[in-house]
Amino acid sequence: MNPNLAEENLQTIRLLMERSAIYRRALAPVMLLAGVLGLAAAAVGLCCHLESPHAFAALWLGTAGLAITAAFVLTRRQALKDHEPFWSPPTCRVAQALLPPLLSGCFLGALLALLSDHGTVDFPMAVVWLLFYGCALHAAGFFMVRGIKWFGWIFIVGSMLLMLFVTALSAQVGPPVANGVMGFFFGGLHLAYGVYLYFTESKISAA
Amino acid sequence: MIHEKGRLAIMSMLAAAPELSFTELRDTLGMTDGNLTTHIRALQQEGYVAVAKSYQNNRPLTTCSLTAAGRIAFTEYINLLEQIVRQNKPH
Repeated sequence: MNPNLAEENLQTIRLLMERSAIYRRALAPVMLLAGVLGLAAAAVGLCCHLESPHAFAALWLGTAGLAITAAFVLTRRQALKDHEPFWSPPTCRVAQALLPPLLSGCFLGALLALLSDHGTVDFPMAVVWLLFYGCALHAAGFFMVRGIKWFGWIFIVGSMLLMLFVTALSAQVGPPVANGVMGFFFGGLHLAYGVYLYFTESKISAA
Repeated sequence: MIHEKGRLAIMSMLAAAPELSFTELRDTLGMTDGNLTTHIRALQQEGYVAVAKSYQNNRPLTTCSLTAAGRIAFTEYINLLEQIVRQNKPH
């Protein structure tokens, strides 16, 4: 066999092996839905003045639960439409990567809400959630399209910068800011990424 | 048998996953139903691929996986390719 052909075959094999291990469901609908839910939750938090840690945690943990359920339903529908099993090996890997940081973030956030009844804890709670969500996305990104890892980094770096900024200014950050931050990251960023994926996803998967 | 481009692609994908559905293979490789069926049948006859038919939510589901013989043949083919590449690399 021609050595160039052998090398080319090896590259093709590597590429296909990587591709078969990657999660391929369309992410645009999930991101758009998460974005809309995030913005709606921020609007509810700001308009209804949900400022106590308990109300803040209930609002955003409830929204997270709703978003996860909706994402589950959407991806299951996609799998059924494509005549494919929902719990495919890539789906299991993504779920296993997401679960530990998501659970840890929810647990820490809920703990902060339980330990304090003062509104100043809302902002640290938001930062903790951003950080752990970013870690979850980054971990899942190993089994998904490359952009997810970068999306995770935005949450991780964003949460760190926010914390640094607030600490450096020694500013007292109130609950409205926490709702705004959550709305921007979980609503705005998901929506923006969803719109980007909507226009590019089919091209990426075809490449 | 594995050397053919289409069959090599199927074997490569199955080597990285415990099992894959017919539609996953078809969509990822951009093959037609007929083309993929022909290749899978050839690999099945050689004993390299196992095909399982089941039902999921009242819909037929066909899944393919590599057999032990298929995995050995695939590994041997990769070793051969690597050997060819190594032998022709300038020292």
